Amino acid sequence: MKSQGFVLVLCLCFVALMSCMLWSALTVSQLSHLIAATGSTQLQHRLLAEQRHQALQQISSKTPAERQLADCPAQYSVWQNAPAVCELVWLQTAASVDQPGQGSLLVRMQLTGANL
Amino acid sequence: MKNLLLLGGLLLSPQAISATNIWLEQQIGQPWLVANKNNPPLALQNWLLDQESSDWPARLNALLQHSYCTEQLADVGTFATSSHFLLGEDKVLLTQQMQRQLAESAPMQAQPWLKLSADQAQSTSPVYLVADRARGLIQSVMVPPEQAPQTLWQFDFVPPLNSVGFAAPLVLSTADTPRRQAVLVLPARNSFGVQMLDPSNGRVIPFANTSTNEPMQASAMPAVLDTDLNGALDRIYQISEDGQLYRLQVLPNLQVHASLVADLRQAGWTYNVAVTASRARWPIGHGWQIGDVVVIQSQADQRQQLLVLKIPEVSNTVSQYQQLTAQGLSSEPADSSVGWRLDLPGHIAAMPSIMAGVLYLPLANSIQHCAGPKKMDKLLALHLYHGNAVYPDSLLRMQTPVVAKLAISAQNQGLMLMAESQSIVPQMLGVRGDCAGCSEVLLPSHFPKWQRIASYQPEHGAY
Repeated sequence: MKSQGFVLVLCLCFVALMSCMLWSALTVSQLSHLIAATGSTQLQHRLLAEQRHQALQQISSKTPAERQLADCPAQYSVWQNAPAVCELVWLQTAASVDQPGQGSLLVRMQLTGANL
Repeated sequence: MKNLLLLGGLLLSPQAISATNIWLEQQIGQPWLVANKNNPPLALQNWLLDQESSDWPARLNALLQHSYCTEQLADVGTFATSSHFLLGEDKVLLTQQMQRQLAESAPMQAQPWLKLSADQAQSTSPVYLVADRARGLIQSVMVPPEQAPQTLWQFDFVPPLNSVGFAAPLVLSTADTPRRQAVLVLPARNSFGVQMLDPSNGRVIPFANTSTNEPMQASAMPAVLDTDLNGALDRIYQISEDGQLYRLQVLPNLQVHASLVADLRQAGWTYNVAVTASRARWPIGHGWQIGDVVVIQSQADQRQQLLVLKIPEVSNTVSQYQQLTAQGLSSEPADSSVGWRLDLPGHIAAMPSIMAGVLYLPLANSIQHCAGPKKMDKLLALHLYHGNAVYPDSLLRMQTPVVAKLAISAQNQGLMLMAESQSIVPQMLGVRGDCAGCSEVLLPSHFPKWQRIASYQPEHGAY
């Protein structure tokens, strides 16, 4: 009777041990999958934020500027003593609630008096 | 029908046909405009009652001691009137009373005018700066409503002003309180060749240090740059009359670091025309060189020369005149890393403009001594970095002389360069950096143009 009880306990312990191993294996695999996907997800979020940022940049010609610059920054096609106005614009795009999104400091150059 | 007859009668009457000249004054830029109006403005009628009204334009002209070259229409319908002047958004009409008072306080060889903003002038009434170039005198005149104008201060300086006009007051950032203030940057005969003037009180803002060099003989209006994009000036280019170009780095504590960047001394040539400079970058090897492009003009007898220098951000060498490639009007692109020079086929009518990397310089066949807007007979258009023609001809000739003030108009297929409603360039071009001397068509869709200065990922919460 004692030996049967001992076998039963052993069986229960084995089942418990196997359950723990199976649970941990499943968890680890899920974690590894999450870890593996983290990089690509982050990249996707960043691309999404970048796209939204670009779209915002396209339509933000009327976004209020941080300030008007006395000089335009260095560029090859220089504008000077001309109707070119350079303004500093701060754009921030949020991809989702838990993702930080994208921020940029941009210079917007517009031509005044040309009805562009 | 009755109204039509009345209108027809007015149009046909000799009084309506003979328009009266009205002298107007711009606040910024070229000082004088002339409008043709049938009736004199209300503000002048009191004066006209006790004068011979037929010759009042001549009398006013005599009082102003100017002769004028141009006539340009302007609308005074929206002007606010006072007993002393008419005030428009960008124009001021001075009555004879005001002119006389100004003439009594200082003989009016003065021009041009520059209106200061309330911050710059630290005044609630409009304040104007008047420069008398011949006498080397700058006056600040406050024009309170319904009162006679008052001279706030005047400033004498030694070198004559050769520039077309004032540069607008610039912001200077200092370590002291107030941290930011407006300044006028003017030529001087001191150790740096420049002086800074507080436009609110006419006092000189002294630099914290002096150069060990001898006092610079400079009379050209210096060029000022903001290299760190903080909205305040931090770099000045000034050239001595004999051709030594200095770069002055102005620190917030008003220390100035002066370095000689170019030695352009040539026998007979004088450098007394305003220097212009701009931040730029140009290809070098497989990368880009960031620096400044400086445009200088020199004179010798009846000859004038244009010099364009590329000055890298970090440079320990002093560029020499001989290193500049001598360009002609139909030359190939210059490949000099220092810059290029060109003998001008005319007299400079206005300061150069650089648009999309193309240098536009208005030229006249003869020197214009009269006051008012200068007219150009031709426009020089050259590649900024290589000095070659961007358009089929580098010299664009006008059918009739026009005021040397360029404007851009957006058309369906591109941008048009205009002057006085006359098309100068039907389709504007801009430079391309992928090959020497190349250009491309400028399209309205290119604007607004964006340039990314910095990119970052905002972070929130605790990490």
